[in-house]
Amino acid sequence: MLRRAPRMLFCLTLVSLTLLAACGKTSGQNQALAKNQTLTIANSGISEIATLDPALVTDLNSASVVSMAFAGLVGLDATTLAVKADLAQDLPSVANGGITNGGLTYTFHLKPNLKFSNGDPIDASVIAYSVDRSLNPKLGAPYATFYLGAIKGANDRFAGKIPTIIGAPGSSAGIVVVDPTTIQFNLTSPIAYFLDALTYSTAFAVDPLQVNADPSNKAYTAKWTDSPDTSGPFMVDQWQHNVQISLVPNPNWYGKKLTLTKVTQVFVAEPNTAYSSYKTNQYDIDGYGGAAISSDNYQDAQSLPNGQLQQTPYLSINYVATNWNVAPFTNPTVRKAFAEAIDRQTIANQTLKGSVIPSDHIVPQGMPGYFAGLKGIPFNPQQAKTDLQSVYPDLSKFPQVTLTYPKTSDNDKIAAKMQADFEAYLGLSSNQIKIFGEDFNKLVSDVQTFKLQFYILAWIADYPDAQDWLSGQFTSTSANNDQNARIPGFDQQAAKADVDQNQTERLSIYNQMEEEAVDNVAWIPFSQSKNLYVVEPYVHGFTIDGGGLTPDDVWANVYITQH
Amino acid sequence: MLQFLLRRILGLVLVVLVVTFVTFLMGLNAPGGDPIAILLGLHNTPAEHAKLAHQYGLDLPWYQQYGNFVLHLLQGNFGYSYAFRGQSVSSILVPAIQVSATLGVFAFVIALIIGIPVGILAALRRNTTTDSVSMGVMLALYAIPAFVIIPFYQAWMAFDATHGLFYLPTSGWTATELSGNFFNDVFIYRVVPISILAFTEMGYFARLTRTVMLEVLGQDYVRTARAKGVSERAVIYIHALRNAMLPLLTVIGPSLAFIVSGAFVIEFLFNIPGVGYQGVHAVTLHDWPVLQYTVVILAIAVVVMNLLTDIAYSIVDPRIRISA
Repeated sequence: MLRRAPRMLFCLTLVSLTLLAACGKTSGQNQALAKNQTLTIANSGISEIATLDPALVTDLNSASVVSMAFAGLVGLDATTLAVKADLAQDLPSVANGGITNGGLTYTFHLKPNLKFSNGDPIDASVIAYSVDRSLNPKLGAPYATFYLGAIKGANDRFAGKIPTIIGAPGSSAGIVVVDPTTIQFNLTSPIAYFLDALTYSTAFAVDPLQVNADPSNKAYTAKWTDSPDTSGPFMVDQWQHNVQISLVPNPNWYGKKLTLTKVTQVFVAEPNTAYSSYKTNQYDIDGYGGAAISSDNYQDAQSLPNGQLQQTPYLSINYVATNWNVAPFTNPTVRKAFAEAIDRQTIANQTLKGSVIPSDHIVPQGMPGYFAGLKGIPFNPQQAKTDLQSVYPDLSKFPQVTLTYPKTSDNDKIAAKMQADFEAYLGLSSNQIKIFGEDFNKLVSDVQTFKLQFYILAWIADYPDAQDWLSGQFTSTSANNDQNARIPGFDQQAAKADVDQNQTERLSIYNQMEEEAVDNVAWIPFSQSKNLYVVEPYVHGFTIDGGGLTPDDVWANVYITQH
Repeated sequence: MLQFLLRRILGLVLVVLVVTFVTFLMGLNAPGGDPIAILLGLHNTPAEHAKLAHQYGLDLPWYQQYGNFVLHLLQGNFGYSYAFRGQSVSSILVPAIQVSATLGVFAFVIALIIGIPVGILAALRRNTTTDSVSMGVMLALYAIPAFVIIPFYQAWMAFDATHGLFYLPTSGWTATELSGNFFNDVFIYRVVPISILAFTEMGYFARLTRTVMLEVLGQDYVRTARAKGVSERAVIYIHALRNAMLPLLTVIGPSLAFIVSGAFVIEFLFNIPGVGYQGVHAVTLHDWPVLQYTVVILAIAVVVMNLLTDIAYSIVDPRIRISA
C-alpha cells in the first residue's frame, strides 16, 4: 500500500499540529521496483460511479473503471487514437478481407483461448450476445443505438420489434456467429467510422452465463455488476459502494502480465479535496476520471516537483453556439461579429490561467482529422465592430441578448469575460449583453428545445472520428444540431464523407466541412480542454488518452518504484 | 404518561406525513430538469424516454406517485436510485446513516463532556480571566464555520506534507488499504472531522451552560442551600446543575439529531460517505428518491429526538407530565 501511515503522525489536539516531524515527498529517483505495487487513484467529482455495466455507461467516471475491467473487439491506441485490435486477432480492413460488401460487412476473428476472469470462455457468441444485449429494450442502454445503430436491425431490436439481431450462419442478419472465433456484422449503411463506434463500451464483452443467472437482471436492479466476470486486464476485488472500488489483475487476461497488484479508485466528491489529499500522499494520481485538476489548483500543480503535472489535449471543445432561428443571430454577419469579438487567448491564458488551450477549431487537436491549416475566424476587435455596425449602424438599436452557460466557477469567469469582450469590442452596453448561469441539465434541456439565444457548451468526443464533430453536429437532420445551422451543401458533403472508405479523401472532405462550419459560425469554438492530472514521480508508465481514459494495454506498462 | 406519549406519537406521525408530502412535492417539481432525460443523457428518443419513465413509475399521476412513495416508505422499500444503476436507496442510505451517526455521536459526546464543564467553570468564575478566555475560545469555535476551517486545514496539511513536516489525512473515513492497525486505519482519519464537528456544538453547549448556570446560581434555593451549610460541590451538582439541565435538555436532544444530520459541509469536504454527503450528491445528480428519503429519515430523527427530549424533560420535571 502506498499510504504513508507511519508518516501521518498523530498529535493529541489540532492545536498541537505543529512543525515537528521531518519527512517529505521523495523524488522517485530510485528505480528499483517497490515491493508494494498498489496504485491509488482519486476518481473525483463523484460520490460513486454510476454503473459498472458496460452497456449503460454514459460518463467518464464510470468509463474509467469499466475500461479497466472490460474489453471489446477493438480499442484505441493511447497515443494516436487509431483503432486497433483488442480481443480481435486483427483489425478488419478491405485489404485483409475483413471489410467486404462495399463496407457493409465487417468480419472479426477473435484471439484464441480468450477467457473471462472466472474462466468462462469468450468466443464469438459471447461478443454477439454482448452487443445484442446492449440493444435489448429492457436494458434501456442510453447510448446503444447511437453507437450500434448502424448494425442491421439494431433500431428495431431497441424498439422491441424483433427479439434479437443475431442470425444463423449464412444469414444476412445484423450479427452472425460464423464459428466460435469468427463474428460478422452486417450494416445498413457503409459508415466508415463503424470500427470507432465499436470501441465504446456498448460493444464490450460481458459474461452471458453470469448476466443471465442474475435473478434481478434488469437495468436498474442488476446485482451481477457488484462482482462481474471481467474481460479486461483487471477484475473487481471489492466495490465498496459510495467509497471506492479495488481492482486486481485478471489472471485470464490475454495481454502482457501486469506489474501492478492492485488499483484502487477512491471516489472523491470535491476535486479540491482530492487535490489536497494527493498532496498529503493519500492518492498516487489525481485528475483521472471525470474531473481534471481545476484551474484553481492548476498553478499550484505546475509548481509540483519532478513534473508531476501531466497535460495533454483532451478531445473536448468549448464553444459558444448561436441559435440561427432567433434574431439577431439569424444574420450571419452578426454571428461573425460575435466570433471576432471573443479574445480566446486571454480567456485561456489569463481567465483560466492556462488550464485550457485557446482554439477556434471544431475538430480538436489530437483527433484524427484535425485540420492544422484551418483559417477560422480569428479575434479581430476592429473588424468585429465594423461587421456589427454594417447590420446595426446605430448600435443602440441592437436588441438585448442573453448568453446562457452551465454554472461552474470557471464558466462564471468565462461568461463574465465574454460579456466584457462584447461590450468593449462590439460597442454594446451591459443592458444589451446579459449573462445567465444555470444548471447544466436545465441548460441542455433548454438547448434541445431551442429556447436560448446563444449559449456556452462543450462537446466531448463520442469516438475519435471527425464525423462525430461535423456530420454529427451540423447536418440539417442531426439531433445535435440545436443551433439550427443550415450550411449550404453541408449535408451532401457529410453523406459522402461518412461512407467514404478512402480515409485520406474522407478526412479531406471533413476538413472542408470544418472550414465551412467555422466560416458560417455554426459554433464559435474558444478553447480545447486539457487532460490535467498529477502523478507521483514513483509511478511510471501511466498515461491518459485524448478521450480521458487509459487504454487496456497501457496498464501493463505501469509500475511503481521505491520511494 | 401513556396519554402524553400517545399524543406525542400521534403528533410525530402527522409531522412525518407532512414532511413526506412536502418532500414528494419538492421532488416532483424540482428544478434542474427531468430525471429521466438526465439518466438517458444526450442521445435518446421520446420512445426511450417513455420506456424508462414507465420503469420508474414517473408516468403515473402525481397522487398515485405519492401513494406509492408513502407505501414504499411504510414497507421499508425505498426504491432505486436514479443516479446509480442497480443501487437501492436503502443500500445507499443505511451505510451513510451508520457513518453519520458515528461522526455525530462522537462529536456530540466530545462537545458535551468538554462544553458543559467549561460552561459550569465559566459560570462559577464569572467575570474572571478564566471566564473571558474560555468563553472567547468557545465563541470563536462556535462562530467560525466548518467551510472556512476545513480548506484551511487541508491547505495546512498539504503544505506540511510537501515540506517534509508532519501531517494528517485530509479526506476519507478510513484508510484505503486496511492494515489492521486501528490508529493508522481509522483514528487518524476521523479525529479531525469529529473534532471540527464537535467544536461548533462545544461552543454552543458551553455558552448555554454558562448562561443557564448563572441564572440558576442566582436563585433563592441555591442561596438557601448555601446558607444551610450545604457543601459547594453539592450545591453545584445537586441543586444547581439538576435545575440547569432542564433548559439544556430542550436543546441537547434536537442537537443530537441535527448534529447527525447537519454535518453536510464536513462530510462533503472531508469526503466522508455520510447522510449529508449523499444528500448533497442527490441534489447535484437530481437523484430525487435518495434525496426524498434522506429528508424523511432526517425528519423522523429530529421528531423522535424531540419526543425523547420531552420524555426526559418529564422525568426531570414531573410537572410537565401532569400538565400534559
